[in-house]
Amino acid sequence: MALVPFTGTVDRTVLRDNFDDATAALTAAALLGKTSVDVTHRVDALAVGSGVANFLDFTAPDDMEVVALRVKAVDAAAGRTVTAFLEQTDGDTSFLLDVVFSTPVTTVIGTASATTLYSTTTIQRRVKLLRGVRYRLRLSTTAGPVTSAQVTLVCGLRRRTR
Amino acid sequence: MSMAWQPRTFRTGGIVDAEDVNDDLRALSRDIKRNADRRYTYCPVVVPLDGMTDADAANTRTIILPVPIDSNGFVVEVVGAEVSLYATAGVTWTVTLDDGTRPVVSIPVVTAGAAVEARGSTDNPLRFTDPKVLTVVFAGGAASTIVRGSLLLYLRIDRFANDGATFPVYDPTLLSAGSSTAGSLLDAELTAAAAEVANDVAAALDIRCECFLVRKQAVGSPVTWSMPSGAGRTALNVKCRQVEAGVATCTVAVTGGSVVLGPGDDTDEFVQSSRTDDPSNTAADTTVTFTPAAATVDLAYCFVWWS
Repeated sequence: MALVPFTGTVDRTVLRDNFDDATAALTAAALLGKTSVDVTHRVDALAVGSGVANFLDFTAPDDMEVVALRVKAVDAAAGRTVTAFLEQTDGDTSFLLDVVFSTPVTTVIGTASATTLYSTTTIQRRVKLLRGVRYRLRLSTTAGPVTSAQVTLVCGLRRRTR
Repeated sequence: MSMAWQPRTFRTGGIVDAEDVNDDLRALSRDIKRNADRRYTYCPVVVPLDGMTDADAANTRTIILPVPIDSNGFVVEVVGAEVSLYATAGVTWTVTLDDGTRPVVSIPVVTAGAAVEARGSTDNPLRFTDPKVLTVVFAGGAASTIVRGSLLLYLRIDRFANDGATFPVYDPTLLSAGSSTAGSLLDAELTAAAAEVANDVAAALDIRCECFLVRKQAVGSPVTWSMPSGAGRTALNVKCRQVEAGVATCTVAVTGGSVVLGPGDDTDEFVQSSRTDDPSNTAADTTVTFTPAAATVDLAYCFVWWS
């Protein structure tokens, strides 16, 4: 807040600017206060199949809007497809509106990554994870194991909106 | 949801009415309080448990979560804990959480199987501030190995450091049309408001925590992971711990800093430099690497705190 103190006379413009500045600062702080919540699952030596090491179950701590699903794979071989999924733990889809949340990436020799954003208007899928419901982050690979892989779910938690 | 306040505009030639000014002061007060009410940030921390056995030494069945930064007084609450286990031999594991101030919370995780999940959780709040730590201890009821497991700690962090000492509160003294010193009264009010707005802005930190862990990590097998950090995130602090019975040391490196832990039961920390990292690409990834030096490290982990 860029406060301009008065010196005897109350200038209207200065008064207006002072209040504008204060309000703008508070609004910006409120917007910054929108928190994002990350949940990350990492797997060393990601294997083909549906082993228990390939997924992480978690309970949504609050209602959270899905913002992005990110996948990253490190491998010594190219051409394998690693896919990250967001699902319900119980296999039901009722709380995800039957939307398939998945992000694939094709491995290279080294690190490859991909992101699907769910916060853009072009995709038009704005889904909230509901407090208390268990969800699952799952990684899968085809055509062979991958050195390591990780999936990050990014959610928005609107705590300080107006 | 409510509409953002639009301050009244005072135009040249108009009258600066005391009630108009008071409306603006009241609005500032309301906005500051609203932000203060919503000052918490939330963060789940995933602690991997793979490879732990009931026969492991007690200190390798223990995870200690320290406060984010020493001496800054951040208040961290664990508002929920959830344990998910797949383990051999169909054994019940017990998890206890102790913050040193409240009764110890115990979570029985009943009869895990290698392909059958056992799960336990608690919503009992735990709270810790510097120099306290949260200690989580795992114990198997009989011979058992966790083939796959995770501890999720749901953190709630108060952005206002020093346990609320900088909590912004603004209760304006309203102006009166009969005041003969309106200018100085306004000065006092706006100065007070500016101080509280500054407190509010300073508290707008989105603090989060990430855990990285290796267990029974052999020499010559460094492990590297990427941070899930967002663009423009600022790393605050890295708190590391190693547990082993021999002579091994382990280097924990987070892009921007590193520390050598051990031998024995050792803790250390370092402050990271600011990082700008977009995790959606592979450019300039912030990475975390554990490198055992001379022998297998029984357990090493670090908590990376971000803003």
